[in-house]
Amino acid sequence: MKSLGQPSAAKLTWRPKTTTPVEGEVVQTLLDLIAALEDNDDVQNVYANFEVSDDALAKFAA
Amino acid sequence: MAGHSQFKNIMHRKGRQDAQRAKIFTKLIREITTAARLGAADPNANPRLRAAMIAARENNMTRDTIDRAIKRGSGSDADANYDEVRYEGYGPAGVALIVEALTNNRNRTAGEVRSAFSKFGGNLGETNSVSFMFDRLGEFRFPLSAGTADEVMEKAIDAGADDVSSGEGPEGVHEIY
Repeated sequence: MKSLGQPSAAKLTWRPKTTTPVEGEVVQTLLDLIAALEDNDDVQNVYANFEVSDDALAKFAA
Repeated sequence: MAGHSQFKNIMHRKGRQDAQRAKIFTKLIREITTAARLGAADPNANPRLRAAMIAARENNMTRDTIDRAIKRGSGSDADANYDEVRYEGYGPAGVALIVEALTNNRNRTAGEVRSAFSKFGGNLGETNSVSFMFDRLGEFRFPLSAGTADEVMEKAIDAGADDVSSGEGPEGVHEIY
């Protein structure tokens, strides 16, 4: 691995083993929840196992 | 177009960006401070501190700010005493969520996290009610300039990696687990 040079980031993460598909209105609520959690100064990281299609995400992230 | 000055638009947008930046910095500084408190103040002897510093650099934090955060953690200031806590719960549609926090007041944070969950139709569960659905893994990100996807994959597996995914485009990174 050293032969690749310096990593731009290295950290411990939680990676979901399975994901839950989410669509429709719920996507917005879910993104609002994650945003609200991340808005908290005490919170460092939020991990979730949802799966959203790129189209739906683009619509709601705008 | 009364009351529609271009400057006002810029002012509001910049204000919002600055606020977001300040939020990210608050979090990064807290992580650096905690890492420095728990281990050595020397990043070469403290992997967690090293990782926190790399993350800070990635977000364009100045050397000065980083050094100050380290000093605050390694000194004996009582105010820099943060606890690590993990909250687990379910969001809308049964999505599992893990929230990692560093706090100097567990009761306050627990209340705030719980209220965020209930406000958006989720609920906070017991510790370990959700984390069994996740793998705890180390993640390394390398710039695309480190090599082609195949090269990176080969080297990563040689080094014992479980999985590699390579992004595309200018913002792409090699993610190695």
